[in-house]
Formats: sequence, C-alpha cells, structure tokens
Amino acid sequence: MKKYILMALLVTVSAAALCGCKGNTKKSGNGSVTVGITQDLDSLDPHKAVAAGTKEVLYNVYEGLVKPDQNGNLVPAVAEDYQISTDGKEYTFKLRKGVKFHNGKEVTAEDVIYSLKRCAGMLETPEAGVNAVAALSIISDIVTEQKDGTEYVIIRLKEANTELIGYLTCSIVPKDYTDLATKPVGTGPFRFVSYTPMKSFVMEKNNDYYGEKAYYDKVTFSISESTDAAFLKLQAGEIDVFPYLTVDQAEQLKGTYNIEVGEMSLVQGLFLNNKVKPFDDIRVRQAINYAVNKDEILQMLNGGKGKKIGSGVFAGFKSYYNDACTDTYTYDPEKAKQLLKEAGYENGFSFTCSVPSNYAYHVQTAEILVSQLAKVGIKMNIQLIEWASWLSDVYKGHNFESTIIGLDSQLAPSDILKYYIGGSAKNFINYESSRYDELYSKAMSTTDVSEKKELYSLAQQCLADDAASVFLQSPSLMVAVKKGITGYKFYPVYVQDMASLRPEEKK
Amino acid sequence: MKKYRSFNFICGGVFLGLTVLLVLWGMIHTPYDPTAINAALKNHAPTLAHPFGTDQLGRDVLSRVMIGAGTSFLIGAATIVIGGIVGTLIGALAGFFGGLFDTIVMRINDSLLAFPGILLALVLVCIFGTGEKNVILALGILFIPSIARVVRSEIKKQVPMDYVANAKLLGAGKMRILFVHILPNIRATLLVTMAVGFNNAVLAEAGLSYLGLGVQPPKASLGRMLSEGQSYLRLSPWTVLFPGLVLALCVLGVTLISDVYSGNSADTEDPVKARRKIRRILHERYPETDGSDSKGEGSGKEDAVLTVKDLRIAFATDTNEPNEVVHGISFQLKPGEKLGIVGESGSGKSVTALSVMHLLPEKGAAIGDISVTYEDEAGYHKVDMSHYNAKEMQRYRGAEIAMVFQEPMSSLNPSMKIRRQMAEMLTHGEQKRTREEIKARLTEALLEVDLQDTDRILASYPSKLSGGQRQRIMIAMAMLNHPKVLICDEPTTALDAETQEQILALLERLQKKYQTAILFISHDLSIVKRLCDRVMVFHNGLVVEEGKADEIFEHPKEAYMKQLIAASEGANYAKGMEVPKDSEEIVKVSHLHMAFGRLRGRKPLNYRTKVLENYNLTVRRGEVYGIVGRSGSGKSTLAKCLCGLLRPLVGTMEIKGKVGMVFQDPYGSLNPSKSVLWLLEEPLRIRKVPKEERIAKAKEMLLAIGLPEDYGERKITELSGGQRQRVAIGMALMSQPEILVLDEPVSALDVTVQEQILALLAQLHDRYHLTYIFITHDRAVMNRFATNVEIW
Amino acid sequence: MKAARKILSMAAAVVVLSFATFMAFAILPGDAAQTKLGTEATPEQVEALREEMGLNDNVFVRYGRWIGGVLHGNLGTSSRFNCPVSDLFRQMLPNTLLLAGLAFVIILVLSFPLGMLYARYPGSIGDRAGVFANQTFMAIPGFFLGIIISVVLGIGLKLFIPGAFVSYDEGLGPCLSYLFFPALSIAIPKVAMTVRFLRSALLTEKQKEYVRTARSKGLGEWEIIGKHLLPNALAASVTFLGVIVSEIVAGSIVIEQVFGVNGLGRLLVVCVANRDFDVVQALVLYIGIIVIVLNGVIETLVQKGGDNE
Repeated sequence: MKKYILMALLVTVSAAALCGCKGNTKKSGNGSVTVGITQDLDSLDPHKAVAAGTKEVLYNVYEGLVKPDQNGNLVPAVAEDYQISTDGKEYTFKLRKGVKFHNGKEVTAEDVIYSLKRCAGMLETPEAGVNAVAALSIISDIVTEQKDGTEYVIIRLKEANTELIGYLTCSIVPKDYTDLATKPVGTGPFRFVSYTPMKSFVMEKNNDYYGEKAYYDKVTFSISESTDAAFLKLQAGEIDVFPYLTVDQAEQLKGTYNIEVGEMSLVQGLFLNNKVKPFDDIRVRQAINYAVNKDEILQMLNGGKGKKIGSGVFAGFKSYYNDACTDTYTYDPEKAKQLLKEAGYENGFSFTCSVPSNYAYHVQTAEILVSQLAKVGIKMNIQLIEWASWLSDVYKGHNFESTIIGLDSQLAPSDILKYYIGGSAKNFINYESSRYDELYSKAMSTTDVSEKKELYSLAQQCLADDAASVFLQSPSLMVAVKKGITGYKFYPVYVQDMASLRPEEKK
Repeated sequence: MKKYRSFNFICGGVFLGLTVLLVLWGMIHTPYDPTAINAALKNHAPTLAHPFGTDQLGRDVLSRVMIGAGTSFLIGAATIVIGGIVGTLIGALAGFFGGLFDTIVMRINDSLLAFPGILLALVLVCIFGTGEKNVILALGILFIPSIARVVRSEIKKQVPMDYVANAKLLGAGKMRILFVHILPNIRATLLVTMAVGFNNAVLAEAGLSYLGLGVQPPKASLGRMLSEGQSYLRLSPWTVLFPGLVLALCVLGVTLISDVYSGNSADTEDPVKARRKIRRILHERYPETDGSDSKGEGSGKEDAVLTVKDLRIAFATDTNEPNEVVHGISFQLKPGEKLGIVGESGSGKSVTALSVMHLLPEKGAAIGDISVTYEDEAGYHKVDMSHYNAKEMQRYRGAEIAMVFQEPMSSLNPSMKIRRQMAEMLTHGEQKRTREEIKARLTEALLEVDLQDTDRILASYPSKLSGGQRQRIMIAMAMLNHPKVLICDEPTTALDAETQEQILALLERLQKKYQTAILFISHDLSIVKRLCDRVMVFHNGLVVEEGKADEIFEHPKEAYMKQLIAASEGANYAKGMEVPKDSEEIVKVSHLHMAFGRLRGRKPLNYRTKVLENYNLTVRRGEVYGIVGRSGSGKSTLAKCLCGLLRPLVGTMEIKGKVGMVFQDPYGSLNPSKSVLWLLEEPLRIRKVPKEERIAKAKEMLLAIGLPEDYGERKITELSGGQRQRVAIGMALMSQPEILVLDEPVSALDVTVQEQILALLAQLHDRYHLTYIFITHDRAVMNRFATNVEIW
Repeated sequence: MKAARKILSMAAAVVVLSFATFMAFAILPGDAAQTKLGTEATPEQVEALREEMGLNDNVFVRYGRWIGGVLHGNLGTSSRFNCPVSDLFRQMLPNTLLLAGLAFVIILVLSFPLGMLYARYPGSIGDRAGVFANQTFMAIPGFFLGIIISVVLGIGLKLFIPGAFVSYDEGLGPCLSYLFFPALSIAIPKVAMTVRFLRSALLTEKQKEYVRTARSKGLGEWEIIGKHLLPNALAASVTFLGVIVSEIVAGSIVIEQVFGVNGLGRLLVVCVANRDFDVVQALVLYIGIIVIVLNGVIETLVQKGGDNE
C-alpha cells in the first residue's frame, strides 16, 4: 500500500520538475520581438480583411501604391511619385523600379492593375468575400503607359474627386496569385512565416526591401483572448510590445515597461437613434450633451489622457479637424434640466443603451454615464449584447435606442463623416439634415484644398449644433514597450508599424 | 441532537449566517450607493471609511458586495426552486414508471448535458433577453437534467423495497405511492443535490458574467465583480479578493450544512479516541481488574488453551457514559474441548467471542485478560491478547485462533474470487509458498469439507455459490492453519435444517481430527446440546450458569435457564385453532405456472427460471395452512401471487374475500419515514375514511397488537424487530382481510420474540376469524402452529 | 438485441442534439456573413456573401446539406478561419484531449491516495481538516482558481509562463509541462469531489461483514483497504468518474480561455460569437458523442455490476 502513495507523489513531482527547465534560448542575430494583440485575424488576404485589428498587422506585410506615414500624410511606396490632374479626374502613378514581391518576382504594372481592379471589384470574375471599397466605384478605367523606360499607371475617374488618394492604399499583390489567404505574398518590410488560429502570426525581416529595412529578424504577433489574458502574459514578460493597454494596467507595469501614450484614431460616442422618442427632439439630445461630464470620463478611464471631441471627426485628421466644436456643449446640469423641462420631460425619462459586451472600455463608459445622467433625472439602463447581435440588430437593423461604440476610418475625411449622410445604410443613428448632406457632397467634389477644409469644418459644426449624438472622445492609446526597445511610432490610422522598432543604444 | 453540535455544522452555520447577514444589511441600507462613481476615490485600499476599499470606478466595494451577494443568493435560490421542482418531478416519474418515458427522459438528459452550456445560455438569454430574471430562468433549465438524474436513480433504489409492495397491496394508487410513500425517503439526497445545485447556480452566474451574459451592469453580482476585477489583481487586489471571499463563504456554508444531512460528514467522533475513553472509564469503575494478579497465579504451565479473566465490554454512546454490555466474565477452554455458549441476543455472547479475536465494532472496547496458550515444537507460548498491539495481533489471528461467522451470504468479499480470499490465510509465517503449493493446499482443504469440483469453486465469485457451500468454505478457510482455537458464532442459524445437520457433522469430524478447541455460540439449545461437552449460559452480560451439557439441559438450576428451555420447546398453538372439516373452501389454486423471463404480451418468451410448475392448493376458512420449503423454492413468489402483487402466468386462482400479507423483513416492509399511527391509518386513509374514525380504529388496533398507547407517535426506526412485525401485522389487518398470507414472519426474530408473535397471531386468528397461509423454512415452528402442513 | 436498441437510442440522441444546435443557430440574431464583413461592407456585399454561403436557403435544406457532408466525412469549412473544419480539429483536438487526459490523471493520482487516507482514519483531526479543505476547494469558481494559479505559480514562482502555450506539434514535452497547470486548475475542484465520494464509498464498504472476516484472517488495515475495500468502492464510483470525464471533456472552456490553451473549448466560444455554424456543429457532435456514449456505457456497467452483487 505504501508503494502506491510513493508512486503517486513521484509522478506529481516529476511533472512539476519537467516544466522547470522551460527557459527560452535567445537566438543570435538581431533577435526577435513579440507583440501582444487581442483580436484574432479575420483573413490574411488584404482585400478580404475587414477588422481594424487585422489591417494594422497586415500593414507590415503588404503595401499599396502609397501608404500613410506617422503624421497622416500619404507617402510614396510601390509608386515612386504621383500626380492628380487639375480637373481631379486622373491620377498618374510612377512605378518604382526594383520593387520585389516576397517570392522574388518583380512588381509589374499588370500586378498593380490586377490589384487595383480586385480591390475596386472591377475584375471580370469578382471573387466572393472580397469586399470592394465603395469609394473606388467611381473609377472608370485603369491603364498603363511606358515612358522613357519607367512604367506609369493611370487611373481615370467618372467624376472629379481629389480625396480618392486616401483609398488608394489598397495592397499590391502578384497577379492571379490564388492562395493569399494561406501564404500571403506582398512587398512590405516583413515576409510572412506562419499563422496558427487563436495563437500567433509570425513574420520575418524582408532583407531585399527597397525602403528603410526593419531591424529585428523575427516578429511574432501573440493572440490572446482578452486584455486580461494578455495582461497575464505581460506580467510574465512574455510580450515585448502591447498596444491598447488600460490606464490601470499601465500603472501596474511601471517597472519593466516604458508606457508610450498617443491618441486612438477613433470617435467614441453615445450614439442616439434620432428616429426614436424622445431622441427625435433636439432639446432632449442637447440636454444629454449638457448632462455628460467628459472630463470626468477621461479622468476615470484614461487617467486624464485622451482627447475630448465635439463632433464626428478625431484629431488624427489634423488639417480637417474642427477643434472649435469641442466646446459646443460644456458640462452644465442646470441647463440640461431646463432643456428637459422645455421638452416636457420635467422628471426625466428612462432609456436603454445596448453596449457590445466584448468592449470592456465601452461598458465602463456606459457605467459612468449611468451615474452622470442620474444626476439630471435621466435613467439609463445598460443592456450588454454580443458583437454579432450588435452588428445585425443595431448597425444593420437600426432597432436600438442608444449605443456606445467607436467609429474608425481610412485617411479620408469623407470616410469618417459618411455615417451621417441622409438615407445612407451606414447612417445607423438615422440623422436627417439636408444642410449637412449639401455641405458633405460639395466638400467631396471640390478640388480646392482650402475650400474643402472650410466645408468639412462647417459640416462638423452642423453635427455639433444639431446634437446628432453625444460625441465623447478619441481615447488615449497606451502602448507598453519593454525597456531596451525604442522606436514605436503612433499612426493616426490603424497601423502597428514594426519596421521602426530598434534596440536602445546602451549609453 | 448530535448533528447540531458538530464542528462542520457550526462552521457552515457561521459562514452562511455571515453572508445572509451581509445580504440583509444590504437590503436595508448600504453604506454607499453601489453605483455612485467617484473619480477621486479610484482604486483606494481598504480604509475605515471603505472597509472593502473602492474599485476601478471609485465605487465602494462593500456596498457592491452586499448587493452582489443578494443577487447571487436570489439566483441560487430561484434556480433550485425552478430546476429543483421540475427536475424532481421528471426524475421521479422516469424512475418510478420506467419504460419508454424513462428512456426518452434519459436520452434528453444526456443530450442536454452534452449541449454546450454557453450555447444554451446564449439561446435562452436571446429568447428571454438578458437581466436577472432571465438568467434565473436559463440557470433553472440548465439545472433540471442533473437533479432529474439523481432523483431517478434514488427512486429506482426504493421501488423494489417491500414497503412499496405493501403500499400497493393496501390499494394506494401509483401517484400516492410515489409522492406520499417513496419521495419522503429520499429527502436527504434531495437536500444534498439541491445544495449542490445552489452552489453550481451561484458559480455558473459568475461564469456567465465572465462571458458578459449574466446580471447587467452597473448592477453588481459577485460573478461580474470577479470577472471585471481580474486585471486589477496587482493594482487593487481587494476588488477581487472580497467578492471571491464572500462567494466562497456562501458556497462553503451551504456545502457544510448539506454535508451534515447527507451523512458523509466528517464529524463522526474519532473511534480511536472513543475506545481509549471507554477503557479509561472501565478501569476507573473496576480498579481491581487491571490483570495484575493473573500474572502471579499463571506462572506455571496453563493447561487451558484459551483463558478469559474478568472481561468487561462497553460501547460509546452520545452521552459521556459508555454503555456496558458485558460485566466481568471469566472462563477457560481446554485443548480439544467443545464449549457452548447459549443465551438470547443482547446477552453478550457474540460480543465476547468478537472481543477474544479483537474484532469489536469501531465504537466498542474491552478490559480484562485474554490469553491463548499453546505448545508446539518451539516450546510453550503464552500470548497475552488483551494488551492490544496491532502488528502482534495480525500474526496470531487466523494462525493460532480463527473464527467462523453467522451470515455466509455477506461474510465473503463479493468481488473477489474464492481462491484469492482463501489464499490470504496462507500469508502467515515466513515461508513463501509457490502458486502450485497454495492451490494444492486449498484443494485439499475444500475436499476436507466435502466440497467436490474444487477448481470451479476456487475460480468462482461468492454470489455463484449456495449458502451451504459458502459456510463450508468459511470453515475450510478457518481451519487452513490448523488453529488451536476455532470460534463459531451462530454458524448454522442462517441455514435450512438439512444443511445445518451437515455443517454440524463436519465441525465434529474436523474437531476430532485436529483436536481444535471449539467455542460454539448459538441461541439454539438443541444444536448446542448435540455438539458441546460443556455449556455456559449468558444473560444480560453475565454467566448465570455453567456445567456439563447433559446435566444443564436435564435439570437446570437457574430460573432463567428453565425459562429458556421452555421457550425453545414452545407451546403448541395448533390445538387451539382446530377447524371443522366442512368449512367453506375460500382459496382454490389450480395448475399454477410461474416463471421469470422476458414476456411478449401474455406468452412467456423464454423461461429464464421456472419457479412454480402446475401447482394446486385448496385452503378452507379458518385453517392455518403451513408451507415449508428451502429458501429459493418459489414460496415468496406464491405468496405474491396469492395477494395479487404478481399476476399468475398460467392457471387460475379463485379467492373469496380480501387477502392481506405480512413480509419477512420487518425493517424493509414498513416505510421508515412514517410514524406508527400514520402507518396504521394508511389503509383507511386510502379508502377515504374520516379522520376521527381512522384514529380511533388505529388506536384500537395498537392495543390489539399489544403495543402501548404512546408508541403511536414513534417513528418506525425507533422500534425493535418484534415491535415492527406487530405493526406490520396491524397494518395488514386494518383493511379487514379474511385471509392473511404470512411470508416467513418470525424467522428474522429471536426465539423469545418469536414466541410472542406466534401467540399474538394465534390470538388474532380467533378474534378476527382469520385464515392463515403460513410460509417458512423452519419446520419446528410449523409443527406447533399450523393446522395442516405442506412440505416442498 | 438489447445492445442494438441502446446504440440506436444513443444515435437518436446525437441527432436530436445536433438538430437542437441547428435550431439554436436559426434563432440567434446575426449570422456568419454579417459578422465576417463587419461595419465596412455595404448591404449588397453582405447579401452576396450570404448567398454564397447559402445562408438564405430554407432551414431544413441547410441542415440536410450539413448532414450529407458529415456522412461523407466532410465537416464543412469554417467561415471565421476560412479553412476546413477538419484542419482546425487536427490542430486543436489533441490539445483539448491532452488537457483532459492530464487532468484525469491528476485526479486519479491525487484522489485515490487521499480518499484511502481519510477512510483509514475516519473522524481523526486529519480527516476532519481534510474534509473541510475538500469543501473549500469545491467552493472556488473554476476561472478564479485559474487566475490564482497563473498569478501565484506563473508570475510569482516562475514555474511556467502564463499564456505561453506550446501546441502539441511544437513539442510534446514543453506542451505537457505547460498543460500541467491548466490541468491542475481543472482537477482541483474535481479531486475534492472525488475524494469526498471515495471516502464515503470506502466507509460504507468498511461497515460490511466481509471486512470482519478479512480482519479475522490477520490482514492489516491498509491491506484490507487496498485489496478488499477499494475494488468494491471502485465499482460504485464508475458512474461518478464517468460524470467527471464528461464534465472535463465538455467543460474546460473557461480554463482554456484563462490559460490561452489552443483547444476546442476556446474555439467554441470564438465560433459561437462569430456564428461559425459548421465548426460549432462539429464541436457539438464531438462533445455529444463522447458524453452520450460515456453515459450509455456507464448505464450498462452499472446494470451488469448490479448482477454480480
């Protein structure tokens, strides 16, 4: 009998010892970096990928004719240079020589045309699952020309549009290459190695990259279930770089990590369904705007960081961003109560706010709003719903009273403001303003940049005055970078640029 | 009352009490508004103002825990109400009725268990929407399969018990049997399952909110607080610690309390400590028997092989005072002598035998001297058995002294082959025997006890052998090491007359051959008279008489001995119950066939076991018709046919008048959860007789069966075997039957108690002009009770 | 004949189960196409994808097509991960089985010696403390235990790196040494339950008369527990262990999430959220077959066991 117990203890001890020896051996060369992400990739094919979380990873593997840089401008990539014709109907791109795909094949004009057409949904046999970018539907033709040894690609539009360049960052892929979804081939600074669902996406340095080469040999995106699961890995030192950190998590990592702070390219708001009583009355919407204390939200959730906004555009758009709207509604509970009385809701009213349960950040914002609105007699009931249900009921079905969500976009102002055009499928808050629609379409078509800026800022002011919804903030983006690694760059669009990471020079 | 003082129960009560207090306090008034956020107070450590600290939104954790505990409590309680009631209903019906309904329920049960919990929760929440009310509904439905499965298996255990057949016989409807008779008996298991269900619901809600489906924010539940607090473990661990603590306290409290009821709680008193306490008290009471003087006197060679001096045995009780059973017994056993011990049960004879072998039950202890002395090649040995040392004892038990027990059916390990159980006896001594040597030795031992076909027996499991065969194996096993002393505790009581004879002859032969000293314990004077040289008479833990076997039985000195002998002969009741020859035939059975096997409609598909073949029976009113047969000869099947519990396969039965039945095992045939009066009233309650009349009749019957008035309120479990059989008879008579079928009514009782029941039956036979059909294996009882006897 | 009837009823249960899953999907709002395309796509594109995925066909047609596929061994393709379901299973099933197997081994290795120890000294201080500890471990929610183990053993004692899960194909040794900790958090509450059950089963056996015979043969207490009591107690605990196995196989979702194990549990959560119909159906089939077959086997064992009592 004694021997049974002894044997049992032996087994348990050996299992524990087995795991003691698990140190990871450091490889020679420039070493590797692990980046923590909390959203699994939805597709490796750039034209099929949808989620922001996927695009920001694929940025390192694929490149378009042009690509966004740190301060929101579009810099040449596969194309060496580009001109837009004065009438805004023709874009000419000068292809860069010597750009190679990861499989060693030279990039040709055919590849570029194939990629652009696939992206615009203009191929003869449109591939299912490829979601053609709506804005590119105004392209009438794409041709190539040979001029003194260099190839050009010319895009002709049906009607004038000077902003289209923002959408022309779509990735260039080899012509008729079928298994992009399993073995991606692009032109970016990193080459694809492997992808294991729910576990990791691994890429290695592309040594014959035409531009500034990356430093680290290997970069692994480690996928985890939630910010909490990732946080465990962080505390264990398993992850080197982790974006989308909360302020509380950041405080707990002071010792081993540098915390870099930037702004998320996101418009977070309490969106009100303008067709539903009582939000059809502008005074009620304005009352809620007055009743919300945005500073307290920023203080509570981001430790004071992040940027208050007053309308539908986030600060990342720099020149197009109208900062004046921010103070349209300062925190003024008395005014809110007075407006409510005018609108006939003297002793307040109650409404439900459907919040997607997978975004802890939005859930906490909702909880703060509940107690803020309670001060003016408005009772907000939170209803957590699943992401799939949010998409079908709220976004597509428009049947909700209010919701809290963050809206992101490409680097074109029209992309972030398209949610409020009258009658558009994307206008899930059912906002109706002919003045806004007029300003929007004029801004879209003018080619004069200063006039375009003027029109867009008027449009933003119109949203603010109509109190279309309660525009809260673009949240702070906190990134934990392990001590000894520098060079993390913040982008105004969803991008995780790993090429710029460098080890810290030892002083 | 022992349960409520136990350590676990108190802890459980304290934990649960604390949580309930917290919840109640929260309901009245929480120190802060649980949803009020306060940026300044973000993540503050516990202070006097906020004993549980504040969370990531500056809310007071104590207030949130109070409300959260309330929510979790509500969810747990509501789930067991919904799931519990529906689950028990389904489980009970499935378990009781069986058949197609049962298989369907079981299959749905399995698939619900296999259905992924989160998908089910999602669907339910999507149908009913999120929020407390719907989470309760979802968890309630999720709980149904587990409780249904438990209730079904419990009901299946109760259905074959005699008290269910008894209730059916009295005319209770199926539903009444299920809900009034059976369900109360599974109360303990039901309670435990409910407690487990409560805990699972509370923990499941924590899981659900981890997926965002549980209680909606900002309302708190313990589960939501736990899942939200995960990433603040290092920054503000109190936001997770306190909800986790309260959750654990609540769940632990419920488990501890439910454990006490389920009976497997740990607070049984430590038997080792209890035995030491008893010995200490006995030594204090009787200082002189510390065995010092026996050393001096026995310095020379003892001629006895077993010496017992001033043996006192006592058992632990709830109170501090142990209950003394044997009050100082001394005797000696000479080599090769056959000493008999007679006396009624409770006289201490079996306990004495057990204490010699140090096999007293867990809570019993003894003082006094027991020593075995024997001579062998290595010289003269005196083994002092009373100063207990486990290792030492193991060497002697089975080698120098061995024992044979009463119940052959349960004295062998059901899941171990005979060969292995016997071989264990040969592990004594150092010499390692090879497999062949052992096999040869065992075969030889079996042949010695007249068992042929030894290979089959050695390779079979006990359940495949008859009672007689098993008792022979026990004897062979005991004699394997040719022990100096063989103790037999009622070895033949459970056997029928014929096998009894063979076993006694076997014992005599072995005793002569190996000159083993035999200590033979029995309540049956005739057996002891036939086998033993010397006899001792035990009464209430003392030796009242001792002497040569024939002297004692011919002219007993003590009054008690005379009474014992008279009781064993027993009065002859048959004479008093003569019946006129021409009285009307009221039971006529012709060509009865009964078999067990699969039935297709009426036609028996295949006879697995033929029980009755072409059996005929005629009984006249007022007769006491005795049927004597070996066990397993179909007697009970006939009894069940006569009273209508089993439908005869082939053959006709004409019975004029109602039939009642009294079952053999008094402990199984009466519903343990009911009181005596309730049981007596039941036959009338089924026939909707008004209350006052029922109670009057029941009280009258109580007197008729010879039980004092105040016994009405007592629970069945508090009565002795004899008293219970009286209630069983009373119950049968309450429905005024003309014919009473008695299936082995007295064979499980002691001699004196047997006498009293037979007297009662005779008296009731005359008073209510009854006809008896008396079924037993004990021919002696039949000769003096039945008017006509039929031997199978 | 009886066995055939049993298999038939088990098969029927599995079919009922898969149809129930199918109906669940029909009720739940949102579908694979909408979740796949997210907010970017236009309604037309969502419609096109729905058409292509066949989501618009009548409910029963889709179920028929799925059953047809399964019969030909093709479990369909995952809309979320754009690969055949069998690939996902090949990658993740071994991890879940290893985790469940390891947990079961830990349960056996820990609960049998402990159960016997408590049965040997019932009522003693050690026994009482043991039962108390048992109940405490049963009271801790699974994911809470997982977090504590990760923080204490992982970050505190550096015995393992939480979240650094090594899949079975990248090396069995490191995989098992990582899986030891999630297996531990699955096993601990189950060990507590098994010890409690085993202790009461052994104690009931200890009251039986054949134990007295065994003692009268001079066997030691430990020998009696090991050779005589345990086999009989095991017969009783077969049902109990069966339930434990079905719980481990179906129920380690939360633990897989906390430890980032690439198993079927986690896959189930992700696929339900993304309405990935084919994968969830395959998972339900896998779990269903194991649980239902297991229960069927236990039922027959118990009945057969009853005969030789």
